[in-house]
Amino acid sequence: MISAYYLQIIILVGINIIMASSLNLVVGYTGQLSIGHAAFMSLGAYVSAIVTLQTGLPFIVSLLLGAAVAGLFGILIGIPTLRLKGDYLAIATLGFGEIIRIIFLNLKITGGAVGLRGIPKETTLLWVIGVTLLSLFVLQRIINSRVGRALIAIREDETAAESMGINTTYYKTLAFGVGAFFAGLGGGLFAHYFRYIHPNVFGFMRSIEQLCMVVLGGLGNMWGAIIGATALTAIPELLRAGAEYRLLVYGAILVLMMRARPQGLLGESIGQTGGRSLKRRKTLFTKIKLFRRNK
Amino acid sequence: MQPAEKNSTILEINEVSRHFGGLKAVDSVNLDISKKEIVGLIGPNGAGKTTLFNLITGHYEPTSGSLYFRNEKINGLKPYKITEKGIARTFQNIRLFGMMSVLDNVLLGMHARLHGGLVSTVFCLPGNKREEAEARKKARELLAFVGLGSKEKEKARNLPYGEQRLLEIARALAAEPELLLLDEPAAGMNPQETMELMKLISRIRDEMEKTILLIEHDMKVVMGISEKVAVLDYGKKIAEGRPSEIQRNEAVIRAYLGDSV
Repeated sequence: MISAYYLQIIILVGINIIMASSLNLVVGYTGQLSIGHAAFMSLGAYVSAIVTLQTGLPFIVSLLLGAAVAGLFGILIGIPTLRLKGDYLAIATLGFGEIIRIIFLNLKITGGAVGLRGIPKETTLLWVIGVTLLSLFVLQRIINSRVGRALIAIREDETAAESMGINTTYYKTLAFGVGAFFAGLGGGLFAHYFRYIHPNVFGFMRSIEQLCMVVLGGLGNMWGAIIGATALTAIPELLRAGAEYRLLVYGAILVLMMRARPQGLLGESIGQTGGRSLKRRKTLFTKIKLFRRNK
Repeated sequence: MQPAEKNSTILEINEVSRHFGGLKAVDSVNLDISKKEIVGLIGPNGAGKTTLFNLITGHYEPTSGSLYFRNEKINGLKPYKITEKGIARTFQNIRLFGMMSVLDNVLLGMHARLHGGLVSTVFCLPGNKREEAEARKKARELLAFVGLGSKEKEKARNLPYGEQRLLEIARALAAEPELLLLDEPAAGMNPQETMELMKLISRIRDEMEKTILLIEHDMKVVMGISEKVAVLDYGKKIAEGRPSEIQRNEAVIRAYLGDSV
């Protein structure tokens, strides 16, 4: 059997694949820069953990409840903020993430700054593999449907999308809600594996880390999100010695990718002529760089 | 107004104005368009033609005046609602979904006519699959109709310029509009392509029974296929009539060539 150490890495990889692929739906496919994805993860983690602790309902129920609450928050946050574009949306999602974190730091039911401990260990390898595959399957189905086409159209040209009869506000909110739902699932798995959660675990840096996974693998590419999540989870763990320099490496990766391969490892190749999308991706990188610098 | 005449009017532009600050981009314009008519909209650069399109399609809201489509007031409606009602357009500065395939672009044009939502997609409901297959079939037919039948797998932005214009038309037709707005469809086309475009536009009207309003600078196109031509200058409609009348109209000649001629 695999040792507990490697098991933990595999489970983390699975959870991060869920996080990266759900964020990819929002950032990569719909083109809406969100840097508060970890907040939805924390909602899923806390809600599912509290449900398990307080009611003793089966794991699947608390997991789904956590995801549903996260999805609901995604929709509620999406309605006002998705009218904003680009930088403003990024700042709004960043602010939302911080608000959620600070609320969890101050609530009694979440254990406040002490964190929530004693969560039963329910997440097994089988659970993680199952939920990851199911998430990827559902996300892929959405992308290859009428809904997915509408999302990509919004990324490519919002004005033209509206002229196609696409209610852009509705679809952006939908993408946000679905992305948040799966982030909530990831959070629930996380909480029931590590058995202890603290608001700062789901802080700004986690959101950025998830964004890095999507960008490294390739915006708007499902395999990209999988590879990005696997690489950025496994490599720092396996190179334990350099763990302190992890964030430094993230920054370097972003800068290098921006110079050499703005579409990510597996992103759609962008020809000589360039296009709206390339320009958009480039500004996305600039924004990420700015946020990292300002932090 | 006789009821018979009222019935054949598909779009009624009634005293519509749009001001940007002090600029009257469109100034009290009246224009009626009848069913199955091809109407040309011409005027010097900056005359307000595209602004009028943006008013009809809901991208702008009129400062005053009203727009009726099939006797229903449409000003103030969002662009996606207006597309649902049956008005589709192409753009002057081509706005295709460049990274998507030619076929996907047409399928997006059908968005308003399809129903597959999140639930039916995720749970693989049978109706969803059938609808998607039918949509693809229809999209291919439309591509063949405009002459792009062999290009469905290519990325839209890799098409040559003239073909991108044709794809925009196919995409607009996919929305099953009653009224089709074409914004400079012949811009950037060579004479050969322009000839084919004129045939295509006539076929869209004759075979698909669409009403067409088109902005065009190429007078050969406008005068060749329009039944009626409206002329805008500084936001005002200065003339309206049959192509032969417009060519002889004093005000139109002045607007294009200046006073001294």
